[in-house]
Amino acid sequence: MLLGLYPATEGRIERKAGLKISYVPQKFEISPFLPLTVKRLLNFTQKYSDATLIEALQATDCDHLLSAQVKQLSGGELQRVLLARAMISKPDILVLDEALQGVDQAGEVQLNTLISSYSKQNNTAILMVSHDLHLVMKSTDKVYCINGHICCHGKPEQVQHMEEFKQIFGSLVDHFAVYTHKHDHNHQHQHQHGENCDHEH
Amino acid sequence: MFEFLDDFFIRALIAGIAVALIAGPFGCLLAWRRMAFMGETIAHSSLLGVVLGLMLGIVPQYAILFVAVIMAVVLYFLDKAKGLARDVSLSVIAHGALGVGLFLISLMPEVQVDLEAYLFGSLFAIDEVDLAIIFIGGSAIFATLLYYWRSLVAVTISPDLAHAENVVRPEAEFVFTLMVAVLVAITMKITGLLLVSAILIIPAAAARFISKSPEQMAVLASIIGMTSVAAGLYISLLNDVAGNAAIIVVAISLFASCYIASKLLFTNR
Repeated sequence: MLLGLYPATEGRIERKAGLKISYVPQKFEISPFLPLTVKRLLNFTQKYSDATLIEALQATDCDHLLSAQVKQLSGGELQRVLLARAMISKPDILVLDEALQGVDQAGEVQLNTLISSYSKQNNTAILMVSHDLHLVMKSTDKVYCINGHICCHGKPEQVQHMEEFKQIFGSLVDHFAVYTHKHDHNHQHQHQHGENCDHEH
Repeated sequence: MFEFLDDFFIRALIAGIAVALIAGPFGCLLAWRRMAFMGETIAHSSLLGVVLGLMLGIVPQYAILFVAVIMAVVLYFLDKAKGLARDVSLSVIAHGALGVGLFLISLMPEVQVDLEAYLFGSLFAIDEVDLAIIFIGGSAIFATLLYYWRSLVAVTISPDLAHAENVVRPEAEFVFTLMVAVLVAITMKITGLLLVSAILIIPAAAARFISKSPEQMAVLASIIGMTSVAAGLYISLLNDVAGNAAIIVVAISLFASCYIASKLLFTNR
C-alpha cells in the first residue's frame, strides 16, 4: 500500500509531495527469454550516467557486473544489484521485502552494515520485512510483529517481552539462534504504518 | 500508379514483409511473457469471424478483425480475474471459439467455407482489401507499439518495480492485447491458423540467441522474419511449393543457424 501497489482497505494514505520511495521486491523473477544487462536493469525506469551506476554498484560490491546479463547472476548477486538499484535515486524511504535472501552469511552482515550506515548518512527511513528474528532484533529501531494483523509493536527490547510476541514465538524468544515458525504472515499489512514516517522499522 | 500490385506475387511479398516487420517486436513481448500461444488462440476465433461475416453480410476480413478483438478483450478480463491459469484460459477461448464457429457452419449447409484457407492461409490470394487492412492496421499498431514500448518492457522486467516506480501507463496492457488481436487478424490471411504462432514466435526465438538487449532482440526478430518471408517466397516461386510453408522452413533454418552461431561464438550467454 505504501508503494501504491494495493489500494488502502480502510483509512487513507497521505504522501508528502516529492516523497521518494524505493523498493527491493521479495520476488524478482526475470523471464529467461529476456536479454537484459545489469546496466539496463538499473536504468529501466529512470536513466542515470554510467558513473552514477558504477558508484551505486560499488556500494554493494558488485560493480564488476555492470555489463553482465541479469539471467546469469546468482541469487546473491541479483539481490546486491537490486539493492544498489534501490539506492541510486536517494530515496526518503527504502522498502526491503526479504531483500537479503540468497546472500551468503558474510555478505548479509556486510550488506546490513551498509544499509544501516546508508540510512544514517542519507537520512533514509528503512522499512524492512523479514522473517529473520536475529536481524530484526539486532538492527532495527522499531518492530511491528504481524500475524494476519499487527499483534504487537515497539522497540525490539520491548517487543521481546510482550505477551503476544511470546505466544507466537514461544520458547524461541529465549534462544534466537535456531528457530522455525509457521505463522500466517501477511506482508500487505506491514505497510499501513509507513506513510510519511521518518522513523525506522 | 499501383500497376505493380496487379501481380499476386508482389502483393504476397509486400504483405508478408509488412507483417513480419510488425510481428518481430510483438513476438518478443509474447515470448518474454510466456504468452507464445496467445496468437494462436486468437487465430482460432477467426473461423467464427468468417461465419459471422457470412451471416451478417459483412466483408469477412472485417468480421475476422472484429471477432479477434472481442476474443482478446475476453481473454484480457479472464486473465485479470485470475480465476484460471493462463494456459487454461487460452485453451478455453481457442477451442470454445473454434467449436462455436464449426457449429454455426454446420447450421448453414448451403454455405461452403474454404477450411483450407482458414487453416493454411491464402498467401497468393491477397487482394487490395487485404493490403489496405495490412497497411492501415499495421501502421496503427506499429505506431501504438512504439508509444507503449517503454511501459510494456518495464512490466516485462518486473511488474512490481514498474508499478512502484510509476513508469507504466495504466492502459498499456489492455492496448497490448488489442494490438495482438489486430496483428493476428491481419496475419491469418498469410499464414493461416496453424502457422500464426510460427511467424510470431520463431523469429523472436531465433533472435534471442544473438541479442543482448530487448530492443536488439526486437529488431533482429523483425529482420529474421522479413528475411524468411523474402527467401521463402522466392523458393516457392522457383519450385512451386506452398509459400507459407517455405517461409516457415526458412525461419526454422535461421533459428537453427542462430542457435549454432551462439554456441560457437558466445560461450557464456
